[in-house]
Amino acid sequence: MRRYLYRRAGASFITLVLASMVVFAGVRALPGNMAVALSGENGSAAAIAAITREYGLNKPLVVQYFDWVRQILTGNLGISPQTGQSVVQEVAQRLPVTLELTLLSILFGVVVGIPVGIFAALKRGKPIDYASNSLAIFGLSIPSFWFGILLILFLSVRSHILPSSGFVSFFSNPLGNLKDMIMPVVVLGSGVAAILMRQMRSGMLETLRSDYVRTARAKGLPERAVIGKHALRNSLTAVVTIIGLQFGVLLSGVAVTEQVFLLPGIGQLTIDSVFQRDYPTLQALALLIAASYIVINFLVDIAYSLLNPRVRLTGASK
Amino acid sequence: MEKLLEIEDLCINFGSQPDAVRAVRNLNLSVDAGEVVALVGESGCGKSMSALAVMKLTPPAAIATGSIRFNGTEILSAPDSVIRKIRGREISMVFQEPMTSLNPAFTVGDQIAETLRLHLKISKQEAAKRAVELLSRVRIASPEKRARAYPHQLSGGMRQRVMIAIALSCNPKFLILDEPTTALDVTTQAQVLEIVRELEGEGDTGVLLITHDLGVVADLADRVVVMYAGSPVETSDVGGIFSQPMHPYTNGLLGAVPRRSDGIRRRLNDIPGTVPVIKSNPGRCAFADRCSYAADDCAAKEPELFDIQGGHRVACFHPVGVEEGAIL
Ligand SMILES: Nc1ncnc2c1ncn2[C@@H]1O[C@H](COP(=O)(O)OP(=O)(O)OP(=O)(O)O)[C@@H](O)[C@H]1O
Ligand SMILES: [Mg+2]
Repeated sequence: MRRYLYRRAGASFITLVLASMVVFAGVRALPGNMAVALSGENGSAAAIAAITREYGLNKPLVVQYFDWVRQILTGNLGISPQTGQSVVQEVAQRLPVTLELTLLSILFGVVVGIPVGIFAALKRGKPIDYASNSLAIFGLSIPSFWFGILLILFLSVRSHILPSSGFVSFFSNPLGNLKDMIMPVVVLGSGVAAILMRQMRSGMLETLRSDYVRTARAKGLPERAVIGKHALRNSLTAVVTIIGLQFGVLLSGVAVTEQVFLLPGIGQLTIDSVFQRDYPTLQALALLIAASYIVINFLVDIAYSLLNPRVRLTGASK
Repeated sequence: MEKLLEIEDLCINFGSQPDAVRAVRNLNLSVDAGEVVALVGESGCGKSMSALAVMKLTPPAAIATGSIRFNGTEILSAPDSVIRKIRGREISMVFQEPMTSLNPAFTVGDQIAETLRLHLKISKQEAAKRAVELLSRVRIASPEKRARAYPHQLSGGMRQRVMIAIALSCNPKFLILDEPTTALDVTTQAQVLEIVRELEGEGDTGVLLITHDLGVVADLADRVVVMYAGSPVETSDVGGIFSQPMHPYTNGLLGAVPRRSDGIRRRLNDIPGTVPVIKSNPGRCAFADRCSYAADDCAAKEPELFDIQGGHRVACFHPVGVEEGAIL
């Protein structure tokens, strides 16, 4: 197990380095002169020259890349031309909002999707199975901005149950923070719930047909243990992988939802940075999202191996 | 006196009438305490389904009717709570599929201990200790180490023996072995047979033994039930089957001149043709198409089991070696 962990950690690190190169090269490959863009629409030649010097844009690319890596390691990613704030500070302010949103959405998806998936599998072919399946397809097919607008319309504008938009920090006003989060979490989480429900249902149906579930019954175990222990453990392995993937999908896809509910998160910052051509911030955000993907993948692999002894003991990949 | 297990007119259908696949038709079978009854027949003739019905574990699509009485309990109509106390405790089954019958997510020690803890209400440590003892009882070397192994780390033969260990863990009154030696190499086969023989020597466990291997039948069985296309076609004590097989099908299985002495280690002979899938009531002998003794009456009516001599029963209008007209 330990060896497996080290190996996976090493692989993750290499992936991270490669990702940083791609992010760097990607931002440099954007059309247009970066210094011109950074100095604004009609920056003077002097301003452009100053920016070129400040960001080291005249140095060879390799040197620029290593400068950037050094910046990352020292935790200083420069100043955002957009706000004049340090990039690190800017991102650090926004990150908790997005993290809270994605974590709560995943939690919502897990808490709703997994039990409903199990239940649908156990009641296969019954009305409740069809109902949950239709609901899942609905959850998957409705665009998030539309769902968000509908929620705002009914829960805020019409009935004033929830605030339509805005954000207060959990630490200054926990209840208000959770209220702000309810609708965005439902919007993002319902898609996750739908995917997890369908995966759980099909995984469960498959394990319920397996010989070892029959063995569990043959031992005289009550159905609660047959399902909750023997079947669940094996159907969860696939679900864990999906949860990880969904995390990545959410993290890079929160922008729309953040925009609809005016949440000051990473997604909004990304959109603003694109419009403002704030390359230092964009570069930092791209790296952050790539790094999160890699970390989540690492965590998923660990969870997967904990659930699946074959992976844990032989280090075989899925 | 009441037998340990009594199966009467067991029918197992898949799907609904009149198009149902009739996997088992009117099986009658009883097993006494301490007795080994062998169930033989070609692939698909309904052996496993019959055995699963005894555990009430037939697939959801199967509809079982008739009566299965175990120790005074009517299995087919008993509520789940009663069945759960019987499964694993009073009746155990070693399934035909040793490779896939263990849960890949738990160690084999845990999987054995689970049954012990469930039925005997013993502590975790005690159950773990007994699991190791059971592993050594089924001839697994270095049992402490193997108890900590996961199924994928064990060979098919070892997994089969783990399944046997689970089955034996609570000293059941009745044991079902579904092809316990089929997937194994000769050495492991011999070990498995030794385990069963040991069990027979020490107690009064009733055993239903499903097998293709006539050598195993000759070795272990007291009585034999031969099945064909879902129905029993011949039942007798083991001597009668080997010395005087009366049904043409049994005769075919055993080869031309069957004798117990040379029957050892021989598999069922191939009979040309395949087992038909029976749907509606056939109204004729299901074996007639493959039978060299078949006559007109075989196509007119389905023969029923008929006691020819001292409990040797055959479902055939023209039993081999019996004078024409001796029955009817
Ligand atoms: N799910 C199912 N749907 C329809 N028919 C089925 C189903 N499962 C089994 N059967 C039928 O039940 C019959 C009996 O199967 P069973 O497994 O009892 O055979 P068997 O005698 O154990 O054969 P083998 O020696 O191959 O193990 C088969 O011929 C098959 O047609
Ligand atoms: Mg079978």
